[in-house]
Amino acid sequence: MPSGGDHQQNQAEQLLLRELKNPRTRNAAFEKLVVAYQQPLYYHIRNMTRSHEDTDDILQNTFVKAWRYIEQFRGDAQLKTWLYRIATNECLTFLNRQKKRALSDLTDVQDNLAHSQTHQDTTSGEEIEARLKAAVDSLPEKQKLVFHMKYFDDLKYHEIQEILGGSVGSLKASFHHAVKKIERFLQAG
Amino acid sequence: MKDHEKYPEDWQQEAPLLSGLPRKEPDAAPEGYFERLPNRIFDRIQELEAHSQGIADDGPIVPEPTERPLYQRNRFRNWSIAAGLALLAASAIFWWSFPENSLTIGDDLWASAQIGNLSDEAILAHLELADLDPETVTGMMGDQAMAAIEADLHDLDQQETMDYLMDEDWQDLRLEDIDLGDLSDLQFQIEQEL
Repeated sequence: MPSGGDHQQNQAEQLLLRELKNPRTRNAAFEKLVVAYQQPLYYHIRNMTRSHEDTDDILQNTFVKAWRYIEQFRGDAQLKTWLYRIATNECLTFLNRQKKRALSDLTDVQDNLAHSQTHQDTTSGEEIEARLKAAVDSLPEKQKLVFHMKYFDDLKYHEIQEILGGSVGSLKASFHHAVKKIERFLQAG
Repeated sequence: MKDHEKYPEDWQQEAPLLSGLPRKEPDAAPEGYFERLPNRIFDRIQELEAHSQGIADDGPIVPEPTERPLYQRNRFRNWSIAAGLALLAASAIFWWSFPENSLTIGDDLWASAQIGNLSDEAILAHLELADLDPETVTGMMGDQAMAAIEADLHDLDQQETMDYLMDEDWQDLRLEDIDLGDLSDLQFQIEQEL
């Protein structure tokens, strides 16, 4: 996928979408889609699941669903945000299932994870990274999602809106609340 | 990932510690993972399409166990069929074992093919054997039987009636053998026909 402005990206996506819907070019176009989005989607999922194996499963499920439902995709949103939406829903389903299996509150599980990460014997850089992970894990669900997409995935607010819904204003508010909480967590040391 | 100096200044000002952290991939993928991923995804798609299975939105679909109602169970059905056959056999045995010399002649039995196939001589012989007089016999006959006899009488035309009366058997009958009541009834019926 060529880098560049939104206009160029939109044109490239429209062309790819036409190729995906054409049975003769569908396989080649789908391979292009996977190559273009596998890395950003991988890190988007990995930030939420923390496990490579779980991330691998969810990422494969995401692309398989994209293959299944590409015919119904109307193109009113970007391919990129559509893929992120599938991946995010798969992550939330996975996390909810884990929560039920653990028979405990998701916050408690992640609080424990955050606590264990801050007390590991790590180097300075790894310690900072661990503290950041712990701080993010302590956030409420929606703030965590918005922070992930804005800070780690570097998505624009209108793209996050296509994925999560809601208004751009509420998303900005969620992100800023998340930033303040993380800052307080880091300052608490 | 982009360099952190491209972050919006507003949130950087709100969170200097956070904005100052070095940006890097939080968790790296195993070596060669992304090179192999496209083929693995295609293999999985082909496997799913070969089995005509899809991925449910909430995970694998496990079929619910179903309990068949009683009437669908083989054992119950077999016993029901056996009971029905037994009832049918019993009915057939009862029907075919109905005695021929029974004195009760109802409408249904009179109308049956068995009686209808008998000749008049056979019937008369039977009646004589049973020592039954005509009045008794007509009284035992049902409405359907009487209607059949009357229909036969109405079907007779004048010539047939005369031929019958002129039959030599009639002529051979002795006067004392003829019941005048029968003759008068027969005459009345003939006059009605004429």
